[in-house]
Amino acid sequence: MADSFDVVMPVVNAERTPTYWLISQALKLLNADGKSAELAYSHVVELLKERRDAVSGIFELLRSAPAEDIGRRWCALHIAGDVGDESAAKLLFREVLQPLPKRCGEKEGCEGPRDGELLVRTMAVEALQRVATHHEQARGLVLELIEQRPEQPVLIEAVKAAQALDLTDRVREILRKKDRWILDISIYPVEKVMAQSERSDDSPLGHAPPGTRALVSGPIANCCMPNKEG
Amino acid sequence: MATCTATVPNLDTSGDNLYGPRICWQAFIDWAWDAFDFDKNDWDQGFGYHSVCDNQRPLSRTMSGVYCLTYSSPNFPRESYDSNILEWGCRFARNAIDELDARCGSGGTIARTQWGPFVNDWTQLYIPYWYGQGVSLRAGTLVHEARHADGRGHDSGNNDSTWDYNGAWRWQVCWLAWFAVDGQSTSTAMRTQARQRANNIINGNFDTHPGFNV
Repeated sequence: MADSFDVVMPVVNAERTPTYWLISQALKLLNADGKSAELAYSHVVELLKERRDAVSGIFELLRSAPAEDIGRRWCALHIAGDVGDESAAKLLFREVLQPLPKRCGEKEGCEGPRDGELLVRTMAVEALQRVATHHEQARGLVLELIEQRPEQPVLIEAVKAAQALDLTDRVREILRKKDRWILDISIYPVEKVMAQSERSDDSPLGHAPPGTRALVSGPIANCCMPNKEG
Repeated sequence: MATCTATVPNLDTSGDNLYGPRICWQAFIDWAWDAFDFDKNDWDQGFGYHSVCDNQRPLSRTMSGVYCLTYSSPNFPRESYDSNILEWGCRFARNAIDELDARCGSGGTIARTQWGPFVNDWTQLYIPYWYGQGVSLRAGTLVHEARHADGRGHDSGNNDSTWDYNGAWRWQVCWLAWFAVDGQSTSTAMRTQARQRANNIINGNFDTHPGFNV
């Protein structure tokens, strides 16, 4: 017998201030497709850089998001990194060091709540790195992250961030001997990241997907009759 | 039979406002329903069978994952196994997954696949699959589960021992990495999350670290 399900709609905060409105625009544009959206996002970020309450607004968005809303939390951190204000550094640092949930047990499936939280911590590290590009104090916080020795996937992100900030020599001093292998991790171009399909093209194609709408050259029959108001 | 509810996260940040309108296309829905062997009994009772274009419901959000898996290659409609997994991932997944079912689930698990002789083969998706992951990560999970449906489990608990094992984690990493670089008609957020998730897997789900990131 199958299960039954229903959705609950969250309470949506009104866009109370101009800053909050700008943040919500940044959030939408970061999740839109196309070059014009990317350009508009960068314009909104520039406007946010000029607002004194930008960082407090972004972290209010972060704090008001339900814990399960990984996407909204992740986007808030992304925007914080792009705005790049020094006042975000300590907040990002604390976000990185929030404890991670335990890994799933073997019978509980492969992916679980830890993975979403890990994605949020990773974004926090990258955002802190962006802030540190322009602010000396934040560079110190990246090194302090490594000193705190978070769990391996977060530690690796912190080491990568420090290397990108030209802090490799300092990292080598800080890292425990058994962790120094992390400094040798290479960044591969995608052409070197291949899965072996163990298949040839003689294998069944299966039910091939329809062409995308963009590939349909004739007019769409069932679309969009204009109403009387036009 | 279980009864469950979920709070719908922000529809922009999950990618469902980007991909939801794309899946609302009868030719695609008819194809995906058949290719991944969805069954009405597994997707009604609130999961979205009666409102497939409602991007707050699990069926629409699954279809978005399937759409992303299907159409993100710049080489579509080519699906050659001689190319990278972004190109052939959907071909493999639709042929390996026996049936795709919606369930409430428990404990935060995202998806599971059962396979083997003398058992009913299935892939089940649970609430965190739809409401805890953005669209590009949902597509990556389908690749992972498809590798299991093909008969390749993990060889070290929930980890793969090595990259050379060529298991579900490697496949998921490869699809996400290629999507991050070459994925078509998508957002900065979907790409960046794909890259970060790929690295999280590389850095945490292999007993022997492969020695690289993407």
